[in-house]
Amino acid sequence: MKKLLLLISFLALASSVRAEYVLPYPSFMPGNKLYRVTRIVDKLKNYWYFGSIAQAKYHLGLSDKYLVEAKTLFEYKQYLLAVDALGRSDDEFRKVPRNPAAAEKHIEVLTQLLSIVPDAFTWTPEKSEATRLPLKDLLEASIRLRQL
Amino acid sequence: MILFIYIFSLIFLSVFSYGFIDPHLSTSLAYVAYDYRSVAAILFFILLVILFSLYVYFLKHTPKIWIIPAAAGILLFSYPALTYDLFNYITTAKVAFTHGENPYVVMPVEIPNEPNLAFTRAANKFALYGPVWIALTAIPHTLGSGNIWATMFAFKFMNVATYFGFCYFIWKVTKNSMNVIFFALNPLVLIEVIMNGHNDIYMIFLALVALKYKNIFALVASWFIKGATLILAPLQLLKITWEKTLVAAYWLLAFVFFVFAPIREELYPWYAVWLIATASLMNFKSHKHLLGFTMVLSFALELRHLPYMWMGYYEGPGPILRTLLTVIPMALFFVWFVWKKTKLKLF
Repeated sequence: MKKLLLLISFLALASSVRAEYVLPYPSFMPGNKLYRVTRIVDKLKNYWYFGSIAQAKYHLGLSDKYLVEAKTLFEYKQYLLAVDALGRSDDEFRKVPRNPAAAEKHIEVLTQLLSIVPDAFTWTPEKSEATRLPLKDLLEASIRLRQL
Repeated sequence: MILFIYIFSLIFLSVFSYGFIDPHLSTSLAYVAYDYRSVAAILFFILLVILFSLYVYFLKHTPKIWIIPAAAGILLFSYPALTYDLFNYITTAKVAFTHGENPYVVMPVEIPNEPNLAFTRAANKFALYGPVWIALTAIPHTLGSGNIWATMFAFKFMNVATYFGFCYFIWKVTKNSMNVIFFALNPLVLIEVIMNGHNDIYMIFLALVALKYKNIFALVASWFIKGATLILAPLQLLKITWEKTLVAAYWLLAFVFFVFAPIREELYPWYAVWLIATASLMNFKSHKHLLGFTMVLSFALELRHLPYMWMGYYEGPGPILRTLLTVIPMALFFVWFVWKKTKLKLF
């Protein structure tokens, strides 16, 4: 009986200590002088990450990074830039082999964003034409991409 | 008779090394090291005493030159008994050249169904050495054609070729066979470079060539094997005599060896190859105490293998035993050195 209890408590504990998928901290944001540099470095890193496993790591790393960038920008209501970052995150995610843990974490972040952003937003810059951003549709499309 | 004992001891060491074979490769002689640990440790200690005694003898009575290729040839066929580093090199090379992955980004453990993982200890680490070393490993990796034994011997063969290259360099620089013997027959060099297959000889060979010929490319290549020779960079710029350069290089490397290495991990015996190689280029008469210290250090460091061999684990009393086995012979040398100095002053 004692052994059975021990086994049950072990299994219960084992299931509760599952390593969680962790997203990176936000890197430099658009507007920072070093932002362009980091984008160039991101592109150059592609040559360093040769090999199929390394490529998967590279694209997943970028997808994570751009998702965090998008999340931060959405939270600061910088929707135009946020949509651009989300698009880049999606592009990178398409190149990643199936990764349920990453997909689950991404979906969690995107779902949270759905609750704080408006359905659509019209971005009107001072000297150029306005752009309508269907934020809800874009976020839902990103979620669907990760559910595949 | 002396030569017979020497050759026999080396053959015995070569056969004895197969007692430490990884159970995933073969189990034929494995019971020696795994079931009779104390016997294995005592045998290894006796072998060390014999090899170091004969090494001292050969430094006083120059042997025939064939003893060097004979010693290297015998140990070429030994098993890398006292370390798993050679298997780490092999697996890292496989990650780079068979799987086409960047070994600085992908760890061996990330390669699905990789059979080498069974005997690779650093499977959860990215490549530990520089790109020049990774590039060099393409040679034995290709020669090995995917066979673990063939690859292991190809790595060891490359070490032997480099060892001969360095012996020739010593001869070219010093024109003294004693200098060549000081390096070539040092049991630590034979065990760590040829038997265990460590890569320190490549780093130090390039660094010493760089210092001798003021060749910055060789020094940079050395850094990109192992970073320890970074400390020698100032010597490349200084305009001092070759002899002074060697002494400075020796103490700078000793600083890395005694200070940085223990902070990073611990005092590994094979790091002494840096010091032995540097000392082997010095003038014997001017630096006899330094050379004597290097010889005692070599012996003391090889003793560090004994606690693990006896106990089968590194922890527990292992660290303190390893420290004592290193410190005691060196302390005895210092006592002898001070006593000799005092005696000379008194008379």
